[in-house]
Amino acid sequence: MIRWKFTYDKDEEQDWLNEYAREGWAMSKFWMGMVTFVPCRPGEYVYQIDLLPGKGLWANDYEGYVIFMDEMGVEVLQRWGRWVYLRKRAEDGPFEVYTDAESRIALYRRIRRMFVWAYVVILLCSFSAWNLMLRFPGDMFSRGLVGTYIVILTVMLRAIWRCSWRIRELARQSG
Amino acid sequence: MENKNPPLTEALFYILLAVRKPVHGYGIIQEVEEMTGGRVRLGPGTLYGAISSLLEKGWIVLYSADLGSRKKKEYVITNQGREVFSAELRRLRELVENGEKMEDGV
Repeated sequence: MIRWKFTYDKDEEQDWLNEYAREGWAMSKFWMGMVTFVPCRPGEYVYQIDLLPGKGLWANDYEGYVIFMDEMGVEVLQRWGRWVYLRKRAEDGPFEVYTDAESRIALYRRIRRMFVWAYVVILLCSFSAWNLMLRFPGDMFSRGLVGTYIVILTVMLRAIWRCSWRIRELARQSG
Repeated sequence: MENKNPPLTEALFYILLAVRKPVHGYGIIQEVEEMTGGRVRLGPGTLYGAISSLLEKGWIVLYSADLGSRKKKEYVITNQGREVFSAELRRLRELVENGEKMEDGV
């Protein structure tokens, strides 16, 4: 079974995957928003999404991470840049990748840094579209392009803001 | 010895305690859970990040009898790690000793 999912929010996506797993559908593959599910026993797996430390799209020591997770009984299903999809059999015990405020804050800081980085790259890419629109004011194509960039940049800003909000909440709760 | 490090997080404190003898990652999780009666359960990501940072600081090292084998990686505390740990223990003792004044009402 294939479903489409576009989100910038890893917690939302994680909840969505766990919802399917509870109903007997195990995510097996993710590609450009296209998520493949295969049947499983309801509640067989628990899913988690992690962002590895690293730079840009490159993760530090991915192989080491996979071996480490394997020893913990955690399967690294899929990697997407530095994003990884993890799952563990529910019968092997509770599964949460991060269990204290410090490591959760560190995760949201990594996510925020990645979005800020992406924001800057996309902003730079959008300059040619702005330029095109200024040179040909009536041109629908360049207007559409600029509009698309504005939407993407707004979504990115929202993602950055959400990370900051979560970091603040975690810091507040842990005193 | 004056402790230059900020107070250890609970996770770091228990990980350092668990690696007083060589132990692999899953062993750390089990031992910490046992010591705290199930209160502190380290998630694999939390442990992975903590181990990376402890290795980087030189407070723990990889311990392996034969590097070529496919045996699970084991970790053990270094002298530097022990020093940090005892400095933290002194800090905690001071907290507890002073804290008891509250109960004694002195």
